[in-house]
Amino acid sequence: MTRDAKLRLSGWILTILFLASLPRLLPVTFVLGDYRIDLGLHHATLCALFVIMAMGVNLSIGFAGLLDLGFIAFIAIGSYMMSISLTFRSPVPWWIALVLAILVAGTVRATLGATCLRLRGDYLAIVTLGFGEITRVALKNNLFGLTGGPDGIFLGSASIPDFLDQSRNPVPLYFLSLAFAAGSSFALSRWKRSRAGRAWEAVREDETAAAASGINIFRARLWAYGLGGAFGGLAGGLFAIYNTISHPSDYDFVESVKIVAMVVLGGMGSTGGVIAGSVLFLLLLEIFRGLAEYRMLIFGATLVCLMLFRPQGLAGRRS
Amino acid sequence: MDAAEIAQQAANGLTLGLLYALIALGYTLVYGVLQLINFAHGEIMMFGAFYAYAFMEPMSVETASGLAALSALAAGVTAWDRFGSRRGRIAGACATVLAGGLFGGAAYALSRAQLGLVAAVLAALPYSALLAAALERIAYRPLRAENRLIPLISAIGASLFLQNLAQVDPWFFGTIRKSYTQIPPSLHNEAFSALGVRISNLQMLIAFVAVVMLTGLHLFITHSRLGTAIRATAQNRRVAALMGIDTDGVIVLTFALGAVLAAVAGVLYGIYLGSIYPFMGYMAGIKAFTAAVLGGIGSVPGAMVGGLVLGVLESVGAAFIDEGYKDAIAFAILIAVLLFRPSGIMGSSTREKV
Repeated sequence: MTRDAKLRLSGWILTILFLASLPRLLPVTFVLGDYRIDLGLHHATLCALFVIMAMGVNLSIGFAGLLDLGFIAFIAIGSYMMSISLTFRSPVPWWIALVLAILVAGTVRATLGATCLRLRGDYLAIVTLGFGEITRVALKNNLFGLTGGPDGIFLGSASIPDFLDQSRNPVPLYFLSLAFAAGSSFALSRWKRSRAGRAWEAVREDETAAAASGINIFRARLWAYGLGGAFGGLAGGLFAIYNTISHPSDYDFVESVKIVAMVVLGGMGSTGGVIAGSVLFLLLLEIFRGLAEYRMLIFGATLVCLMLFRPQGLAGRRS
Repeated sequence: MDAAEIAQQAANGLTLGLLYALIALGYTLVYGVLQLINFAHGEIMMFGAFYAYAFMEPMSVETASGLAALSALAAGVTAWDRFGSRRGRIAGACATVLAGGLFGGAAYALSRAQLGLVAAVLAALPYSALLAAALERIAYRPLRAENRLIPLISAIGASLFLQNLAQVDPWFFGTIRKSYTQIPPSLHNEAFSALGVRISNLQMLIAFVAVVMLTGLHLFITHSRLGTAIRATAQNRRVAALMGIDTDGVIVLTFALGAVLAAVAGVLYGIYLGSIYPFMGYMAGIKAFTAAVLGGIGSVPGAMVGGLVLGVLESVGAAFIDEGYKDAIAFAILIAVLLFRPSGIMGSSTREKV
């Protein structure tokens, strides 16, 4: 074993040990004078969910170069799918509900992509924004009589499987989310080097050259798009259990921008960077929680500064 | 639903549509010269409405100071940009300090004072133009060479920033909705009625102001020297620069023009809907952008047509379908137009590159 491989292996072992021992380490409280920051295990779970969402967005923006300003819609679809399946007259098992959430979100996104992926980048971004808003309005207006209108769908203890019920024991949901986050990140880092991943990169860098080398641009983009939606559905399904409610106001435009910001912060296209970006973003949100009304102000300014000074993010390399 | 009710909805829709058209021009002008979706344009409109409000009502010392600081910053950045590069650093610094002090001080005095409706709106126009010019200089210009998505994300960040800046209490306006108080009640109460359709004085005022401004802008673009420079820059920025046009100046001008139109629209929108609030720019901005795309982005008459069509479709559509889906109508139209005719009603589809 080379020195480098040894270092990497020990890094992995340390990370796994750290993540596995988090339920014992948390909650912690940092106190700086009057200012206190509480970090609980639910933050770690949320972090894992954010990583999954960010992976979905990274697939579109980072890999295929398609900006999505309405990604929250697919998280909402996953979340509602989960809640509807779990509160149905004859409820389905949670894992079937989760598979449904993934499939429906992926299919809806692929369908949307099939109709609008031929659009140019900024127009596509606006279409996704429009789709996100339409989804929110539709959910709020009790779509198909299933989404519960402005109150959303509440998941009581009776609908959530016992072992995932955070009020009983938050640890299993944490490990489940962590496993999915790790799985998603692993899948993405593998895909990046696969034939499809290199096709996405080629399409992102130069459409004409990619088409000339025999890549079906539309199909490559559609795959990236649909798969990204499936990640959104997965995160949304878990998010429904995490939140114990699917509520339309949780899925507005700013949430989409937040996920884009995580990906941009970490570095579009870099899996490790995006994980770091999501974790850092969530930590910053928590640290600045005391600043209440200034938080989004700082967020907006940070987004501008990031674009001005480091558009490639923390981990990305400038092309 | 009877014909009179539909006609009433159409009249209301036309009023809204004219306001959308006024805001849409800002998107279309900027998109024309930069191919940039100025996502923060709705927030410029909101700030225009709030500047007018601040000049109309006596503000607290804190709010007046906050506005003065923001105005001084915007004026300073713009002055530095316009003079610093051409006349050298010392002249630029003098201009910056002078403009910042002048506009900041005036903003403070005007906020503390109590102006009439028309005077307040007129006084708000230069401030909204300066804010837009400073926004362009800070958040967009350094990113012109980048991939289009980069300035778009920057624009979204700027939009969030301005939206939340307006909410900061006590230095700006806070989250509580504000209403213009100096509105003559006859604007709302008195109306012209014919065939069961009621058109209030306010609606007629909006129509008058909007038509005058839209016509004025159209004539400015088509007949003046500066208008020619804008069209040349929109056609080809590099060649326009080679012909001796100060393209940076033209771009600043388009931002300022759009901001002036948006500020007027913001005040009228605030009067029409009864209140102004920091989030008012988001929905209005998206709808105006829809109007711009619907009419053909980059085309000035297109923005007017798009605004009117969108306003009527939205009002009449909401009456037919469901009031709850009203906001979704604009988005559905936006998606449909982008999918089936991305060049819009009046736009030409020749400039699509690869």
